[in-house]
Amino acid sequence: MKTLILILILGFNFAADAKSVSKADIETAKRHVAKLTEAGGRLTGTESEEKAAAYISTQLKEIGIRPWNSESYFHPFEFTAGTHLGKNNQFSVNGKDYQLDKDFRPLVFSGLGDFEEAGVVFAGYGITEPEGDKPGDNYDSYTHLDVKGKWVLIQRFMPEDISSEQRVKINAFASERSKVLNARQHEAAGVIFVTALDTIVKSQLIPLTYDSSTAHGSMPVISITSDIAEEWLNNMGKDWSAIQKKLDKGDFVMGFDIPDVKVSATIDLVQDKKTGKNIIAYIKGSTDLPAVILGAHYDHLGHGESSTSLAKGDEIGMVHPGADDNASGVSGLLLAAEYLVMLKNQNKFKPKRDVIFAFWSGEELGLLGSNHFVKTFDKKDLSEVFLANLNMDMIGRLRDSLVMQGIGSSKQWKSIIEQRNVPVGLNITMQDDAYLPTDAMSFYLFNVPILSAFTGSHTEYHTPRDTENLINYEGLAKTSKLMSLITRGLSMHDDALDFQKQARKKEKGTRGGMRAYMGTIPDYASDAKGVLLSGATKGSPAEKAGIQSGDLLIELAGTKIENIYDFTYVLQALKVGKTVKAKVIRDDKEVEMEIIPTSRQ
Amino acid sequence: MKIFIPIIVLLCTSCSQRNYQKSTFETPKPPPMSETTSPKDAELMTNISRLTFEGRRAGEGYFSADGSKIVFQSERHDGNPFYQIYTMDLEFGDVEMISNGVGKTTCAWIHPDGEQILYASTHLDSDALKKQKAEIDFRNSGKERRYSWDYDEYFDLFVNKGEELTQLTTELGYDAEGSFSPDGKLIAFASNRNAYNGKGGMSEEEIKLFELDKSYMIDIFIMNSNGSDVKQLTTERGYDGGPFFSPDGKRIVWRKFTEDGMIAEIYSMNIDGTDKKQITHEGKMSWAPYYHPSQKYIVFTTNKNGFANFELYIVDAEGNHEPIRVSNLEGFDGLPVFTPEGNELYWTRKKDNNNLSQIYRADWNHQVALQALGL
Repeated sequence: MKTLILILILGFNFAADAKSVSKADIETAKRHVAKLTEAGGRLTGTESEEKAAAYISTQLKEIGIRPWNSESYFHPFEFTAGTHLGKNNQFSVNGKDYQLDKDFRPLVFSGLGDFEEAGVVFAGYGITEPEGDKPGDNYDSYTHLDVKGKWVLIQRFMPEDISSEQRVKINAFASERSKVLNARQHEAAGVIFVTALDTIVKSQLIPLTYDSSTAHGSMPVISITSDIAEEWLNNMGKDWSAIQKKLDKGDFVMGFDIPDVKVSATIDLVQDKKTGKNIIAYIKGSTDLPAVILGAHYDHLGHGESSTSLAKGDEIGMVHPGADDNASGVSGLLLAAEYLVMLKNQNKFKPKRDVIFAFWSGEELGLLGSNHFVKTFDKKDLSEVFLANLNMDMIGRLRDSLVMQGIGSSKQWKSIIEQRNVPVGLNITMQDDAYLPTDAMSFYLFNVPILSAFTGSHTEYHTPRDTENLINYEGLAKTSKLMSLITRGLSMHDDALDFQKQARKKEKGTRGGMRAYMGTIPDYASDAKGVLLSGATKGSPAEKAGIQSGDLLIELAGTKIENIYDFTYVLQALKVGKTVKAKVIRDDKEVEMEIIPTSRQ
Repeated sequence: MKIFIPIIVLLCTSCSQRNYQKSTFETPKPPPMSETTSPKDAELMTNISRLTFEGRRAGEGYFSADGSKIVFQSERHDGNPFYQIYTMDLEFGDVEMISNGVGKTTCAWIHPDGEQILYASTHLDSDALKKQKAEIDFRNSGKERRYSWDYDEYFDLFVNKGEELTQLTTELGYDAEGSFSPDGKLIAFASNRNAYNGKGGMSEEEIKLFELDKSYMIDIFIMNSNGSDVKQLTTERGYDGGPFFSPDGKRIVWRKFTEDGMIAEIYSMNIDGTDKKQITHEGKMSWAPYYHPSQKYIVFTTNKNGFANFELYIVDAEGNHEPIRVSNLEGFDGLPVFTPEGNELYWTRKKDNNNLSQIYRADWNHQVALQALGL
């Protein structure tokens, strides 16, 4: 406990040190990150997660903070770690069996069991866009089509050659899940996805990628190779290529029955259940006012087993140390716990509210730990339980400014942050959006104001190159200090925070229809006009084209880019394999380059 | 002497300076940058950041002697459109309201004991609440006047200590802009009390002028920290205000306006009013002087670069050298203070007409400042 004493002494000298954090803080931050990355890739449900959890709990014990709501710091939760194919998968056409993984494969969210023989209807891209102002003007693959009790044969993705406006409109309804939902609303018996002829893809069969939404539907959903579907259409005298050309132009193509094809299937998927654990400690407040909960996830990607790993080439399968994501946040959370306990012991911190410190697991697999936690309260609204959730996810790469996300979740955040930043003196960029891909969202969805600290994305994100030597420890410690002071302030006052519900931006984050892949890494912290890139993913089209860290993307495919939304919009409109011009500003000069997007799936 | 009828355009409030009087001619364009600037401009002030207190306006931040807190005024109290006095603890950012929420307040200063807080307030004015309501109604009407300071004659000086509030001055007239001496025994302040008590000896012309501009009769006073033994230190017509003690407590620095209110220069004097010395000779509006804790130089603001473009300058304490430009920022930069260690500079900044004033800070390089001033 040498560091504690040192901080205590420095504490009296705060005039000089108020704005900077102490050397001891920085050393402590470093030690935490080193220990956590040493533990390995910290994939939830593995031994590496255990090791990290053991380290964190030992630290909490040493800090002298009590376990929350239990004798133990650990709060285990069961989750589905993945799905594998069972032994009994079958796909038969007119009594002929096809080969699993070669000719067909169930989708991960398919219904399970035996599905009796039924006919097949071709339904183009299988997209129904809701009716707009003018009835009948919407895109609808099911016009005049009766699919009741039959399998629908649906092409993957969406029309390739339509205008970008149309593309963006349809995009939200083009994901596999949307299409299956749509088929179910049309009372189909099942869905057969097929890759249209001449479509560039990595694999014609949709991979059995586990995406954390565990629920199996009732409807069987499989993908088959183009050959099988082509044979069906050829046999009935249809020219698939011609149909495809029309479809891709966005022209209406009436769906049709495929006579003489009867399909039956047995779907057998087995979920792998595992256990992860949240680690939760707290400082008790003097009242039972709603608590302040400060969190950070400690899990990461292991060896990159999940689809969110961005490892390329030689890196594939290597340990993903996740120094920034999110050993940095855990380090910050431990510092915060240590600091606030110390202040409490010095009588400088008299919390009215409980202050809960939560180290989440399963974040990388889909916010599992925080999600499990909020659901244990069995309430739809947690505003009576929690005043606010503060979150630290990726706080190790402070460059120009700290990004405070979720500002729009309460009107008070701006002034609270400004006030508590006075002793810290960080440059802060505030972002309103509260629908964040981090644990804070689990709370936001239960009407709790959130605030998430983030120091920006980078080229090492989700790769084995996210290592401890790249961490800005002073920035980490300052970020932790700011979050600690905000927590301290909130927990000492009775004042409630008003909760602001935001409209969710349309299908943000789903990339159902996004086909083209460029591999640029936007710097979300930037508020420059254009999209500042912190680099390009290794081996990606953007890297091959020569995109560098610090490039400000201002034009793509002839469209001016002013912000990330413009960029997403244009990306959705790009065609795989078709060269586009990109214009960036680099060292105050405009640089042009050509990028050839590849297929995302 | 030809007397201007001044149009008062207040850009910012100040214990150090209240009025900018603008004649009817157009604002001159800033002259080309030909004057002395620091060769190491960027190195004097680094890591500029905005403290950004909430509220409509915030300003006049002054440190406690140990640097652990700052006292400031801000318009943020519900139901009162005027400034109230707050402290902010600089270790945690805790903000505490010091004044009682009634009336107008301004110009606070923390006693070296860290507990007593001196400020000026009109809360004893029986019309205080009426004035609040009038101002709120005015603002709700959608109009926004250019900021004006009215030198309310009910301003008196008070000292707050914990729950206790002690009144130090009782005379009619504006008593404000107070600060403690470094040993806490004395208070320097500004007052136009002589215009009300008949001691001013004003001519009829002057009485008319005073009606237009209450600052015309403001002079510097000094008294004991309990309010006893009040002595007048300046007597000349025109606004003398914004007095601060030197770090050794032997001198007072202030800014002195010409009678017509068109020009202000920085002066210093002994605390008994002797040895008055003009420090700047810019012929513009130079004001808000504040000593560096080394006492070697004074930071102030001046509009020599354009009427509304106030910039921070430093000048050696004796006024022997040309002032050196410190800031080079758009908009108003004024009311500078150093931290007690002298390694940081805080000031009030109003970026443009769309922004109200807020407090900014920067790291201060004392060595570069000494070099630049040839000290």
